[in-house]
Amino acid sequence: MSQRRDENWLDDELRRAIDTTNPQFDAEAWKQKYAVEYQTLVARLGKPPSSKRPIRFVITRYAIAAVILIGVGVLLTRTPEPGEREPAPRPGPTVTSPAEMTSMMALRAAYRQGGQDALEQLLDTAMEKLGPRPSETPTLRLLSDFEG
Amino acid sequence: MRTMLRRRVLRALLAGCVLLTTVGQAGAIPPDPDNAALLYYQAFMSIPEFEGEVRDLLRNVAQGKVDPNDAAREAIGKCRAAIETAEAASELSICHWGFRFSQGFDCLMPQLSQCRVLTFVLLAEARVQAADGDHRSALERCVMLDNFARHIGDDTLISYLVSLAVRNLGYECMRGIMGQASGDASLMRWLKSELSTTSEHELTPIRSLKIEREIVLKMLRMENAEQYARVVVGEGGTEEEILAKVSEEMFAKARRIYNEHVTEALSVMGGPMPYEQAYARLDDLMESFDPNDPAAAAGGALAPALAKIMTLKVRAEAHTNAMRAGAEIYLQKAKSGKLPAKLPAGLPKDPFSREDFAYERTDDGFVLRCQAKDLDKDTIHEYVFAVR
Repeated sequence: MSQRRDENWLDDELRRAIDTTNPQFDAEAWKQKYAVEYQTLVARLGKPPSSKRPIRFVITRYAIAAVILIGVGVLLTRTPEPGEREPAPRPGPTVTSPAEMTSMMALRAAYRQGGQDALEQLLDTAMEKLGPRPSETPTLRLLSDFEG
Repeated sequence: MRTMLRRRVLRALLAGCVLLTTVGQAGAIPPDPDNAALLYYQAFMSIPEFEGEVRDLLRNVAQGKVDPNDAAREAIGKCRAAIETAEAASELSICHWGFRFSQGFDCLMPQLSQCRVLTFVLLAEARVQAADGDHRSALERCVMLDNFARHIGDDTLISYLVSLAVRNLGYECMRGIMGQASGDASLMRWLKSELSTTSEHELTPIRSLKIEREIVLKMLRMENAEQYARVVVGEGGTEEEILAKVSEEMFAKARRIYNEHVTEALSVMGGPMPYEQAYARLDDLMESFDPNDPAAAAGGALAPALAKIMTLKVRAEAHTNAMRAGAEIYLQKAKSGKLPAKLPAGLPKDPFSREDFAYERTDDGFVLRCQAKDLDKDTIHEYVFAVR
């Protein structure tokens, strides 16, 4: 992966992790508001700030991304305490898994309404949605995929 | 001195044996699964993803609607690994699919879809083998399908329905191939013997009904009211309206009524009552759920169509018995060169009437006909056996 693509990926990840949609950074206003700090920074660099990203800023972004990713990883892998097992109700639309059409409830309802034909039709529809899984991935190829 | 020497030799031999056994065990390859379901799951995953056109072709070949062509042969060739794995599975006696019964009616059964696809693949292969003149292999595949149906099992009413459908498809394919091989006495003798053992593994809705009864009795409780509402919502009203009407008292009464009905149904199905009488009794039982009593209505909404379920059982028995009788008739024809003039004595009977099947010779072979109606379908079943 190139440095440039790497940065794009990082930008995307940050954009996903942090809400960047609303606030727009107004550089001129900031310069006016913090004139003293701005002049100090310019003097420290010994030259006017360029449009290129300073290395330290890139490192900081990497560090933020690393902290976010580690945080997400810890949250995903952490075993919840017994009292924490109840998932918190989440707002938003309810998404139904296609596998639910193969629940005993759904299959039973199909049979009750349309007999054997309806049951078989539902099983065939489930087949189209869920599988079968292609077998053309032999173990050796799987291993080579993992090892790169 | 000699005794000491003997003891030392004996100890050395014993130590050698222990060492050999230990090393032998450490190097042993772990055994293959003894649960057929694990192999079937592997077989399902080994079936390639076919285009809809190829899937339809395999299904039509399997059902004998079209003759096998090159495309069908190629598709079956791609299923070789799946077929061989299923073959290994069918030879095992134990098959536990791992249903999560604790989930009640939310228990998922996606493998039943895959069972149908595997059935079509196996039957299509049997048709190809028959078309190539290898009747023995083709019939072996059909017999294997009978084992597969038994493995799909009767844990739930839905599995029972799917297993019966698979068995019926296998029998239909078998009937076509028997006609082609009807001159081969040794093959017919072998098939007759294979078919006679299926009675040991007869599928029955009794086990499924017992399990379903436990699931329903667990569901008819306030803590599971939400699932109850989702199950009966099709009977009228929204889930919210249903939930507004439930109470622990209503559920307690519904449990009692449901349990009484299903327990009596189980006794009718497992008892000696003739089909017609049993059908009438089960029909009455279903009618006796009072729709104006919320508790009785709840019980009725959860009970399966009992008379229909029992008819399925009797219909399946009739098909199995007809296949056994047909194999004997084919055997006699293979021995004597012609079909018997009348039905040989001692053959399995028609369970609808508990009498012998009506036997009729036709221009193309023979027909075995039930002597009483299937009251659910209002028809008399007949099984056509061709002779080529």
